[in-house]
Amino acid sequence: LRFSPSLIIAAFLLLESANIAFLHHNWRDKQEQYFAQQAISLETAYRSSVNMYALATEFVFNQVVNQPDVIDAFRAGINATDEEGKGAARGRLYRLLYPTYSKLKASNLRQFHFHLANGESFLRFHDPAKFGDSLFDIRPSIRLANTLKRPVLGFETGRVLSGFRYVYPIILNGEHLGSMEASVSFRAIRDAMAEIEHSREYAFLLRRDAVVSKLAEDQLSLYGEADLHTSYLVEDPNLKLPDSPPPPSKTVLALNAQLRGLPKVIEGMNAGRTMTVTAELNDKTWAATFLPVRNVEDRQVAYVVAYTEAPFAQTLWRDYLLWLGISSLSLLLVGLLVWRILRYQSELESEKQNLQAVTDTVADGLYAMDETGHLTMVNPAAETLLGFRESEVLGKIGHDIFHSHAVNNNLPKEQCPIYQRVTCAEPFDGEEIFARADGGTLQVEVASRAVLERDRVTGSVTVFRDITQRKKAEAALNEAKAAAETANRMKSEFLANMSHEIRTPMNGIIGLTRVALDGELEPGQRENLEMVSQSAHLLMTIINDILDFSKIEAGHLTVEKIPFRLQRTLDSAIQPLALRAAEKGLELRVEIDSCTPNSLLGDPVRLSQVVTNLIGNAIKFTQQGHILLKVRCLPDATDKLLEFCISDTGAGIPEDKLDSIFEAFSQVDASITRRFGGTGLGLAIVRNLVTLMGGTVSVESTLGVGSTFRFTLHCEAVAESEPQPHNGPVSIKPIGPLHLLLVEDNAVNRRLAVTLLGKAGHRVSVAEDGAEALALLLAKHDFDAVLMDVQMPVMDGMEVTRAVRAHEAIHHGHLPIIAMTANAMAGDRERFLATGMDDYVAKPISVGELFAALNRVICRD
Amino acid sequence: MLLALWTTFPFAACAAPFAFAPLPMEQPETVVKQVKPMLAHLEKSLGNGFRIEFSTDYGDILKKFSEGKVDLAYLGPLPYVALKEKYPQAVPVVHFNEKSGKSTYTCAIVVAGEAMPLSKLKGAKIALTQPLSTCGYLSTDGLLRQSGLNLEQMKYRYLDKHDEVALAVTRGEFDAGGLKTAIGKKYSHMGLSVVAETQPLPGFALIANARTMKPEAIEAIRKSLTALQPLKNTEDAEVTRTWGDNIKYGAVSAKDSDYDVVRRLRARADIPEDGNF
Repeated sequence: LRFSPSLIIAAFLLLESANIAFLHHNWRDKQEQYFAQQAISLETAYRSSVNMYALATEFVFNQVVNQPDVIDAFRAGINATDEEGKGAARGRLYRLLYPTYSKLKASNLRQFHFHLANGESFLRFHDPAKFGDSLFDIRPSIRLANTLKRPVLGFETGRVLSGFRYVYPIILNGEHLGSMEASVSFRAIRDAMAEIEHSREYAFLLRRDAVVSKLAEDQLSLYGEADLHTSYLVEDPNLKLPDSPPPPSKTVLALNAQLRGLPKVIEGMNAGRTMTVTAELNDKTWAATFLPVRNVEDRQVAYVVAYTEAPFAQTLWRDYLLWLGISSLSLLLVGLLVWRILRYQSELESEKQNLQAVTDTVADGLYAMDETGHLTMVNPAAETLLGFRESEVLGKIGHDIFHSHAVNNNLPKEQCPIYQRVTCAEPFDGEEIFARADGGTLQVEVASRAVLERDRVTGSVTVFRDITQRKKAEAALNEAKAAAETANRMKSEFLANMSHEIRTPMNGIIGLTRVALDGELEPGQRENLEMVSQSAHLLMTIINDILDFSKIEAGHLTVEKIPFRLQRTLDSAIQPLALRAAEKGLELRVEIDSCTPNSLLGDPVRLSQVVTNLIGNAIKFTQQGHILLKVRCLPDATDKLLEFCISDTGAGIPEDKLDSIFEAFSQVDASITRRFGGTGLGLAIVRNLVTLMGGTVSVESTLGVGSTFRFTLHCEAVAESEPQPHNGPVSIKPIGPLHLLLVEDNAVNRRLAVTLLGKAGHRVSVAEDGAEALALLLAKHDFDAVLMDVQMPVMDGMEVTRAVRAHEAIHHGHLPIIAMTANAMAGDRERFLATGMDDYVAKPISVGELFAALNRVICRD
Repeated sequence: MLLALWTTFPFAACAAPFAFAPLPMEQPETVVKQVKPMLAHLEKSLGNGFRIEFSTDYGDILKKFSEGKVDLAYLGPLPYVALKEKYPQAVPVVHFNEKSGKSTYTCAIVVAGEAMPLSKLKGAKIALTQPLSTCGYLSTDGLLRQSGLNLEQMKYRYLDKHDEVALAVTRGEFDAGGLKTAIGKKYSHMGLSVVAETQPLPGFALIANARTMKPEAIEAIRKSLTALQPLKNTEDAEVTRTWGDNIKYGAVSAKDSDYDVVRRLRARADIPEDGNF
C-alpha cells in the first residue's frame, strides 16, 4: 500500500460516516420505539377516558333519562299540538332532569340536549333559551344517531364549542321520539386522562377548518390560534368558560415555543399523523406526543398533545453520543495507527529506493548475503564487474560463484577469509581475486561487514572495487621511481665525475700558473699569467657554484655544526674581497657589534660562502662608494640570532625585481649577465644556504642609491677555550725537510705537486698509481707522509691506504696519508678518513691548505 | 386655514374636559372600550374633551354629581330618580334604545305554567334579579302593590340575572319571578307565563349636570346622539359599531317626566340589599 494521506482521510471519513449513520439509525430506531410507546400510552389513556364518559352517559341515559316520567314529558312535548302544551312539557322535562344536569355539570358535562327525531333542537339544558333549530347539517352525531337509531359517540365541533358527544336515540316501544345528547368538554377528558397518567400535561388543538365551517357568527373570538400550528385553534384561551381546562403551564409554553415551526411538527400535523417530538428544557428532555382525534365521521379534526418528561429519550441520546464518541475515538486511533504504519512503510520504501539508487549508481560492486553466504542482493556495478546477472546468482552461494577459482585453488567457502571474518562479526578489508562469468579474474579491493540483528549475524554486505588499473599504475610508478632513482644516482655520479675531471686539470692550471708567477718573468708575461690565474679562479668559482647548486637541488648539501670563530671566519672570507674592492676603488668595511659572541657553533665554510657571495655581488654592482658588512646579535628567546647586513652604494635593484632576485638563474636583467658576468645562481645558493642554516634572507633596495641584503643565522655560542680543529690558525711551523711519497696519476698535477713541495725543500718520491705506491711503501720505510690521489688506475688511493693500514696493524707504526683529490663532493672527506687516511686536501690544491695539512699530520705524529 | 378650523369648532378644546361617570364597579378596560368611542364622537360635535371619572358605587357617583365633580353620567332610572330628588340640576339628556329599537321596556312577574291572578301569590317565593335593577325589587314590589300585596309579605331572593330568574321559576324553585318582560317571554316555550306587567319604563340615560354644563353643551350632546339612527341607517350603524352594546342602537331625547312611572312604582326609597330568606 502506498502512503496517501488523502486516501487515509477519505477512508476514515467514510468509515466514520458509516459509523455515525449506523449509530444514528440505531438511536432513531430506539427513539421511535420509545415514542411509539408514548403514543400507545397516550392513546390508551385517551380511549379509556372517552370510554369512561361513554359508560357514564350510557348510565345516565339508561337510569335517568330512559325512565317513564322523563320519556312521558318528552313525548308530551313532541305530541302537544299547541305551544302552551309544548312549553309545559318542555318545562316539565327541564324540571325533571335539572338535578341530573346539575350533577353532570359538576362532572364536566358541557351540554345536555334533547333533539327531535328530525334533528330539531328540543331542549338545551345548557342554553334553554335556544331551541327549535335544525341540527342535522352541522351535527353529524345527531343525524347519525337519529337516522341509524343507534348511539353515536365521538368528538365533534359545534356551532359554538366542540365536545365529545354521546348521542343516544330515544325509542319508546319502537317509536322513535328523538335523541338525548350529553357532551363533555376536553377538560373532562383531560381530567380523566390525568387520573390515569398524572405525569403528563395535555393540550387539545382543533383544526381551524373543522371549527370555522360550523361556527356561529361572532363565536370565533372564543378561539385562539394554537402555539404549535397556525391551522389549529385552541378553545377558550382566555378562560371565559367555566369548563375550560387550565391554561398551559410555563413549561408547556416554553416547549411550544421550541416546537413551533419545527418541520416535523408542521408536516405531521398537516398529515394528521401520530408522532412524538422532543425538546430540551432546563437540562431535561421533554416529549410531546401528538394523538390525532377523529370526529364521528372519521375525519381528523383535532389533536390531543401530551407533554411529558422523557428521561429515557435523554438516556438514549446520551448513549448514542457515548457510543458515537467511543467508536469515533476508536476509529480515529485505528486511523492514526494505519496512518503511522503506512507512513513508516512509505518511508521504509523510500529509504529502500534511495538505498537502491545508491547501490545501483555506485561504481563499486556491492552484494549482500545471508548468514549462510547465499546472495540476497547484487548491484548493477557488481553485475558489470563480474559479468553475472543478478537473477542468475540470487539465492546461490556467492563464494562458490566468484571467489572459488583456479587462482586460489578452488578455496572452499569455510576457508574463505571474507566469510570467516564476517561470520564472526568482524570486518574484512583486503585485496582478493574474484572470478568473472567469462572465466577471467578480477583483482579487487574488498570491504565486507557483517549485518547484525541483536548481536546475531544475519548476513553480510560486501563492497568491492576493481583495482586492476590501480595495480598496473602502481607497478608503473614503482618502475618509474626506480628509473628515476637510477637516473638520479647516475647524475650524482656524473656530477662527481665532472667535478673530479674538471678539478684535476684546474689543479694543474692554477697551481702551475702560481709556480710560474713565482718565478722570474718578463713584465708582459707576468701580466698575462696573472690574467690566466684570475680566469682560472673565476672558472673555479663558477664550477663551485654550479656544483653547489646541483647539490642543493639534489638535496645533497648539508651544513655542519662545528665550533668556529666569527671574526676569523669573516676576516679570511673578506681578505680576497678587500683586494678586489680596493682594485675598484671601493671602501669595504666590517663592523661587528661588540656584544656579538665570537665563538660559535655552526658551519663557517657556508657562512663564508654566503658572505663572500653577497659582498662579491656588492663589489660587482658598485662603481663607487663603499660596501659595509654589519654584524649584530638580535635578542632571541632560544639561542643567538645573528644578523648580517651587507649594504652598498651600487646601482640598486628595481622594486619589481626584488621578489624574484633569489630565484635561480635570475638576474635583474639579461644585460647584467653580459655586463657583470656570473651564473645567476649566487643569490639562489645564498638563500638555500641561509635556509639550511636556519635563517632568513631579505633585501631592500633603492634604485641608484644602493642595496641592503640581510640574513640571519641561529648560532649557539660556545666557550672561548674550545679547540678549533678546522679553519683555525694555520701556524705553519718550519718542518722538514720531509721525505714524501706523492701518488698521482696525472702528470700535470704530479709535476705541480713536485714543484710546490720541492720549493718548500721537501724530497718527493713519485708513484704513478696505487700499486706502484704500495710497492714503494712496502719496500721503503723512510717516508714521512704520503700525498695520495684517490681516483687512480690499477689501484685507487683508498685501497692503498687500507693495505698500508693493514700492514701497519701487523708491523706497527703509522704513516700519515693525506688524501689529495678532486673528489670534492660532500661526504668524500669522511669516506676517505674512514679508510684510514689522516687528512684531506681538495684539488685544485691550495698551497696553504696543502702545507697546513702536512703540518697537522706530522705534528700529530 | 387654522382660523377656519377654529371657527368650525366653537367649543374649542381649550376648555377643561367634561367629567364622564360610567356605571360603577365596571372594569376600567371595559368602560374605556365601550364608552370611549361614543365620547370621541361627542367630542367632535362638542369641541370639548371628556375624561372618565371612575366610581366605586352609585352613592359615590351621586355624591360627585352633587359636588359638581361629574358633568355627565350614565345612569339607570332608579339612581336618576334618587339623584334628582337631592339634586335638581340633574338633567336627562337621552335615553338609549334597546336592540329592538325601543327606548322603553316593561317589567313583569312570571310564573311557571298558566297565568294566574297575582293574589294567588300571597306568601309565595319570589325570584328577583338585583336590588337596584328597575325590574327587580322596584317593579315587582310596585306590581304586587297594585294587587294589594307587597314584597315584604313574600319570600324573595336576588338571583342576579333575569335569565336565571326565568329558569329558576321554570324549574319550580320559585313560585314567581320579577324580570324584564322580554326575557320572561323568551322562556315561554318552556311554559313560563307573564302574570303582571308595568307601563313602559325609561331605559338607561345620559344625565347632564346643568350646574357645570352650559345648556348649549347639553343640547349639543342630545342632538348629536339623537341624530344617529343606527338601526335604520347603515352609515350611522358604522359610526356606533364599536360602541358598547347598551348604547349602540341609537337614542331618543329624554325628559324628567319620563321617570314619573318609576316614581309611581317606587313605594320606598330604600330597597333591601338582600333577600329575606
